[in-house]
Amino acid sequence: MKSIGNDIVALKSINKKRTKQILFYSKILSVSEQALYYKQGFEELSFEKFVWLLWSVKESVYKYLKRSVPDLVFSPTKIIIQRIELPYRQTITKFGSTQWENKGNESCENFYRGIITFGPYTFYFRSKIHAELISTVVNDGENFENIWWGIKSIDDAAYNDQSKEVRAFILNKLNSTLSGCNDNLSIEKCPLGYPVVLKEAKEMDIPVSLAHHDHFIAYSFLSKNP
Amino acid sequence: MSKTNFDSNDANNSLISSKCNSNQYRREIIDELKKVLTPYTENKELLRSINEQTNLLTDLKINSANLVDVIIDAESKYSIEIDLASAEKMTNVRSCIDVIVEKMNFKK
Repeated sequence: MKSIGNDIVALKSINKKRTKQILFYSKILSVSEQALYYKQGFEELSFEKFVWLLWSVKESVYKYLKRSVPDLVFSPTKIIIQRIELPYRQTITKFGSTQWENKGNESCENFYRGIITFGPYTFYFRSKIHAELISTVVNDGENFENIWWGIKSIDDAAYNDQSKEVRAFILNKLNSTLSGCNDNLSIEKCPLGYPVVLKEAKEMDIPVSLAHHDHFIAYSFLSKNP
Repeated sequence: MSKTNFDSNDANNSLISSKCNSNQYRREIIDELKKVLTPYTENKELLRSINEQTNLLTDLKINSANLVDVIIDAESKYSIEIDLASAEKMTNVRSCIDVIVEKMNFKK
């Protein structure tokens, strides 16, 4: 299956107090994932960041699968993170710039990463965690070489502006990356609810995933070009 | 995300008084749901006009991360427990009402 899924969480918009309540996190984390936090002993990752890291991974898996399973219902506790590997540098720093873009050839040691299972499916994730945000991309293989990924902070957090900004952000990258596009690409939401790239009204074979939350937007897409 | 204050006694009394009329019962739940959804909905005008077909994610543009808040707030408001299987269904107003009615009946 050729797909992609991403998510972003603006940490200033989460309710830290509620996140730490079992009533809340037990609706997101499975029992094994709750145990994973204490078993693995994360030094820099607070429990609330752990909960939202796993949320962003699960949401990304859901978006990945939605493309091929349109009737899929989001069931966070059924998408299970089996293992988490820590980045080489665990210190959580500020995002520190207005945007970050990457083609998946950056060393995996710079990311939180791990393995997820959902029924018969296995997925792999990479996540960036900063003081202000958690951003995740999910793939069905360990190789992220052809995955493009971008994160940007925006001034206006109104929903329609977030949506417009993230489309402009990915189109700018697609137009500059893909040869022969000449700025004639557009992003539309298909009837099943996921975004598609159109070139002169024809759908391109490039899976894309978009995410926005508060003052942060993020895209990911799968392409071997250039 | 801010926590909403609820007066569960008012909500329960209101529901009990209208249990003979299921349409009225559902309309009253919609009115209470509007209060639950208020902190998570940017478009307050749209929220005022919701009906059973309204989708929380695509129509009200509620962030998916806030769906868990909506479920917990509904549990608190009606003093019910919403299991994970039921929670998964709560993506539109109709399914929210169905789950709340089912759990309220289970409580009796």
